Amino acid sequence: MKQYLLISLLFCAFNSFAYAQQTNCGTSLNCDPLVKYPYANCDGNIVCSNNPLQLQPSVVQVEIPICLDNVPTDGPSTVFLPGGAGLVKVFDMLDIQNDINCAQDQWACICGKQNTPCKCHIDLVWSKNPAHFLNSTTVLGEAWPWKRNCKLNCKETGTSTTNKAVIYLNNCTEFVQISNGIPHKALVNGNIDYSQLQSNPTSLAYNLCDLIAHEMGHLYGLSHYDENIIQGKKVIPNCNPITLPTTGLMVSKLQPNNKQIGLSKDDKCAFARLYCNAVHVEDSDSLFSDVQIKTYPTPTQNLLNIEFSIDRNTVYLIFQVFNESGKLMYDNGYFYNNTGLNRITEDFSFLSNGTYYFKIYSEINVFSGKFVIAR
Amino acid sequence: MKLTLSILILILALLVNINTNASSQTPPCFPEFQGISYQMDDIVNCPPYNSNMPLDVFIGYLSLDSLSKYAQINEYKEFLNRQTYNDTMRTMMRFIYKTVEYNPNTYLSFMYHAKYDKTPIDEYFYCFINKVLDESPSPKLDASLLGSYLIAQITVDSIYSYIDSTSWPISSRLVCCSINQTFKGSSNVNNNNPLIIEPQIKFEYSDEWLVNGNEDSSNVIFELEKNKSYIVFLEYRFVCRSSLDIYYTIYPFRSSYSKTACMYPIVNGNVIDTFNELGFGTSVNLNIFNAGLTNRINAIKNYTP
Repeated sequence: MKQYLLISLLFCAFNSFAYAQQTNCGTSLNCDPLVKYPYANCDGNIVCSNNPLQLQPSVVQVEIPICLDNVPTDGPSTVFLPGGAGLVKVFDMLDIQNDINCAQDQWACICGKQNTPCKCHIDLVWSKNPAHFLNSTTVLGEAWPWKRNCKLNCKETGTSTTNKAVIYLNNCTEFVQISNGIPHKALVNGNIDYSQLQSNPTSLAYNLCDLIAHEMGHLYGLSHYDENIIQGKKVIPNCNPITLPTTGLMVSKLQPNNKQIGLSKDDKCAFARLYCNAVHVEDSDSLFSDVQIKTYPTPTQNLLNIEFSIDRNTVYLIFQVFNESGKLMYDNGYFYNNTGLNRITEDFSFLSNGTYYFKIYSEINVFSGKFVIAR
Repeated sequence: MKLTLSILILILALLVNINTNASSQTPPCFPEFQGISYQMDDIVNCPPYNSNMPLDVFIGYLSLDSLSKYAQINEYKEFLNRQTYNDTMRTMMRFIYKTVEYNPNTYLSFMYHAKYDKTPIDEYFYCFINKVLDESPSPKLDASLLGSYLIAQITVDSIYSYIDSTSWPISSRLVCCSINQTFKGSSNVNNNNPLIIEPQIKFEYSDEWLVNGNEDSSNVIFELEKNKSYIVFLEYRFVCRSSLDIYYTIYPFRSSYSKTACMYPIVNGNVIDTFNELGFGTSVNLNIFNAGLTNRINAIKNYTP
């Protein structure tokens, strides 16, 4: 028992060390303010936004970070594929925890949550059951995000076994298509680059860390950039004015025989806009400097001026005003092209006397303050 | 004498059994599988050419086999990306439709006849189905026609509900039904022998396939009912292979992303397609529906550039 505990402690220590190795957790991403990303909203549709928190109906948001529990019952123990002069081991179930950590840490790191306890546990189930997949011949994995009241049914909250969220990994016979012990398709450990092992591969090897991270992206409420299936229809998000990214993990199809891709800047920005606004970000590239923001006059009768500095060209800012009850009273977005001092002047003659709170969102930061209207 | 007769009967029984594929509850190559499964002979030759084969079917097999041997899957995808709903696409649709229809069991067996030197054939097949969904003027109808192994009007005789607890529970429905009319494929899903008529088939679906993603599991948007009739598009799904046999199951076709899993009820003589997925209308007279479906099938099969 003591030995087991020691191993567990060592394992935890190793994981903590691994977390510490991640760089730039919770720091600036310099996301392009013009780029909108597709999110799943609570109507079951996809919406494009560069400020998803303000959408109505609201988008799917979960408690972060999510953690995955491996259910290896129907998974392969080891997988060998042709490589070099013979066969090489490309998957070992003993390494699966590294792939899980690899995926979940990438997401948690974006908001600097990599060291915080999991808020939501989801099972990662290896399945041989074709009923678990839309098309088990070609689908690598599938996230079944059972939701109730637009909340992900984590193991902590799921009310029955059959409506908890789950990520399935495909180990169906019709997917792997084993011939003489060699699978034609395989999920391989994240550190494996099969293209380096086989110059002209006929087997299709898919990076497991990337796949898990992709499915976790769906649990977090992100949609494919390119193509989605929504209520039986193919939907390509219309996220104009900027062309959607075609790289990263949240594209609809992961390419086989690649080395690990990892989250792209777009993947991170899509996530950060949904989850990181409330996180204070220490960032040398910050668009705002708090001391340079000022509001006047206060109290005001109608017009309010807000001055602030930005230190790079072209930013998109969202300005919102709330009353004392937290009700959104005003919501507007602005493009700014000038570095240096800028000023917003708003006419609040439609507001009654009282104290109001405002927030200004950039793509990486949020600044808040208050003003008083007295006539 | 008795011994000789017994041996003769045994030999006859074995001979009959060679061509007889019975439904099986537990495939020996996948004993944990809880759904209905069918057993059939594996193909001996791959591709399964024969001298009686229509030319279009021969070309279908030849093309798929060549692609899997000589074309990288990414090259094939790039080729498809360059196509619109043009002569090439429509001709490919003709080949694919006829190849699947000619002998669905053989086609299934061919598709999963894995070999080292080939890319899996199902990758090419389902890529094409996906392309049809993108380009066809009647995307769901055409994708369902091409990808289904059996399209039929059925009457449900019984439904058995159970929880399939293979690795993770799923609510399964085993449907036994009588076939009233077939549009594609054979009702002899149990049997390769066309002389033996099987008027009843069994297939399965799961409640989880038929719920809106943002609702809880009690809100199933569609259910089959006993003694009612439906138009169904079914596909054979490979379960596993033993040394001589392959085992497969039958599901409603799902790769066209139908909200009702390609199952359309017939109510008061009308086919109900609530979301007008097939393009014939949300409620259309059965005879008109049948004529429309047959016309579309003929248009695909007889297309000439």
